[in-house]
Amino acid sequence: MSFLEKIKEKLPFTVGQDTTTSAEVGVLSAHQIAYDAKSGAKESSIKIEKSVESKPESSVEKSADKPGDSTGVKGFFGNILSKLSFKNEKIEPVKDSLTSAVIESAIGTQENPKEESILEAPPEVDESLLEEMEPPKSILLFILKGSFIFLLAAGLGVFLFFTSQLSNYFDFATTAIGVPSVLNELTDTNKDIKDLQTEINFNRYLQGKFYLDQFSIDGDKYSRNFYIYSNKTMSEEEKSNAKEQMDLLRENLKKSFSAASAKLGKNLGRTLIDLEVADQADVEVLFTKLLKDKLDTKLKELKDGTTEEETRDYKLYRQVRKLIENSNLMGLLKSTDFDKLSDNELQTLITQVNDFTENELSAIQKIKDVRINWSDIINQIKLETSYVDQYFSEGYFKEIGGIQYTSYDFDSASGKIIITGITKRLDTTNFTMISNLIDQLNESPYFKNVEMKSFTKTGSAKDGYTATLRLNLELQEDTLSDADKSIDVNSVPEFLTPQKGPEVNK
Amino acid sequence: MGKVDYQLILQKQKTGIRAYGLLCLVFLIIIGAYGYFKWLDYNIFEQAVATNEADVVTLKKDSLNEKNEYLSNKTQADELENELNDNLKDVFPANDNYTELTRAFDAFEEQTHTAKSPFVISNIEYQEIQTSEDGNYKYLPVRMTIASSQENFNKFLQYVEQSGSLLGKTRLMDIQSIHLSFGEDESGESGVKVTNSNSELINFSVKIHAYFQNI
Repeated sequence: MSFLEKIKEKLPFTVGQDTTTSAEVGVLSAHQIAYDAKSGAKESSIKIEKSVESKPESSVEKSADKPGDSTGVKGFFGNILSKLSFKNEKIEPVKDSLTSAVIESAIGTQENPKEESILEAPPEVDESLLEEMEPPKSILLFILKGSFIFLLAAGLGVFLFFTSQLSNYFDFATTAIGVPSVLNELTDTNKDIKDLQTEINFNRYLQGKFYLDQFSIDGDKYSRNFYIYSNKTMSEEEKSNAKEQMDLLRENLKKSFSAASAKLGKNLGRTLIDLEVADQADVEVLFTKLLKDKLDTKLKELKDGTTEEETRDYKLYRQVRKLIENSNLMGLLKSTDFDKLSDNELQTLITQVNDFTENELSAIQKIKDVRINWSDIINQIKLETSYVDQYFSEGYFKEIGGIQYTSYDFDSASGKIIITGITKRLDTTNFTMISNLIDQLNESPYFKNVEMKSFTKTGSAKDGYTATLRLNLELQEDTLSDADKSIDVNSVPEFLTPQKGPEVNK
Repeated sequence: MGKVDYQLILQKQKTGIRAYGLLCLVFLIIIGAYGYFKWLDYNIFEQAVATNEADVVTLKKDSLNEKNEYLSNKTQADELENELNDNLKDVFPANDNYTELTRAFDAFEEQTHTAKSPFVISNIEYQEIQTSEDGNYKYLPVRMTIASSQENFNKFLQYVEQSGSLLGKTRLMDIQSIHLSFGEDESGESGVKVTNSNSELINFSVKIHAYFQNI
């Protein structure tokens, strides 16, 4: 039932119905009005609808003509008019018909200017009629409610979508429907990058280790030739051959060192779009850990290996693992300008590389590093002695005297040397010669704490004077090592001008 | 009373319109803002995924190249390893291998000794095996007594000093102490003219450490 129909239903008269019904309604309405008047209501309102006014006159007339109904009709309109006249007695009641009553009313109205309108006050609708009426539904409100629900649903959808895409809360659902979230996609691709980069790092380090081994092996050969080249007790021919070999080996060493530097000198990390990684330093740490983990896994697998290959691989991975985060080695690889290295510096580089790496050769190198070349020491003693006795060990001791050693005691553990011998002079300056020898040895970078506290001399002017010699001295191992590294073998003269000693006529 | 209800309902409708309108507006703003900022995040993630996917393609190629390079070097590396291990058997063996060391001393003696320039090992004495302080290696202490010419004495020192090289395949050794005294020459003179003559006899005893791996 529409709103309009409800209104119609509530109205005291019927709109758009036949005359019989209207008449009946009119009777009811008249009774109602009469009731209102009787009940003392001062005013009663009748809302006259246009539809009522436009009722066909014929139907009204027809109703009025009906016997028995005229009284009703007249009474009805009479009541209306009496109501509308508001007790004005000059308004005559309706006589024969509605038309004539209206005309008379109009005339009457014209005759009495005070009563120009028959509808003095607007009729009022009985409010009770609206008690059960509702205003029309608001379409706007309906639309707004619908929009609100839509927005609510859309908001929920947006929230669910972004939460499922940008977090892991709905992984169970996204996984179930086979549509991974963008976050998971990122995680997966990050994992792929980590795995691939770690694989690259792994192979790079294995190759780096190979080049370092190659460098160590060539370095070992170089070191041996360098020893020959720099040892003063070697012949010139041996030195020359050694130098040729060193030059050849230098090229190989350069290749393997550069290759090792290229493989090991690079950063392990790679730019990674990962929420867990804040900056590049963390990336480096992360990839370093991944490489270590990979090597640890390999080591675990091979730990109980029995085959030769498994044992070899186990050793290889163990040694490679020690290369990771070897800052000393990395610094050396990055900072060394190989082309500018002298022979001595190259020898030092070989030693350093072996010290910073771990393999069998590095263990050998560590032993060699502390090994004392006694031939050099003996040669140095002879050299220093020749400063004091220019004819030392040239076969003139019996004729002109000088210094003659009878025994050496060398001890590597304590670094102490004991030299015993005799000095012979035709004059009486044996003690001066010994003192000069002590000073000379003390000035040498090879020795320290040279001392001889007891001086004894025997002899005569005819046969010359003889004094016993017992020197206690210590090796300056650090200085010795440094001096060895920095020494230029070609700069050491073959013959040193004697500082002191008697003149000899052969 | 009916009029009041009617108006009340109308008023309620108006209030409802205002309330729902406001709610819709607020929700629209919230959803819009939330969606916008989340979309920005989402877009960043999408771009990151795209970048990562491109990186993965590149890395796969790099990884393959690196692997192939390693495999091509591996053969060479294995050969190098075998060569190294073969040499280490002589230079830095897995055990004290003192019999081989004795044969090596004998070989040096035979190679060096001549009538004019003698080199005679009169005594070799092996002592207890020791382990280094850091545990990286072990060593076998050896005492030797040798009578030698000056020339061969120098050769012996060089022999020990050059030991441990893969090139010479000589057992890694280190002289710990030397006591040498000079014998009498042919003229009967006591003392030494150290480099004057090959016939001068040096009697020396030497203590050597012969190294081997600590496995």
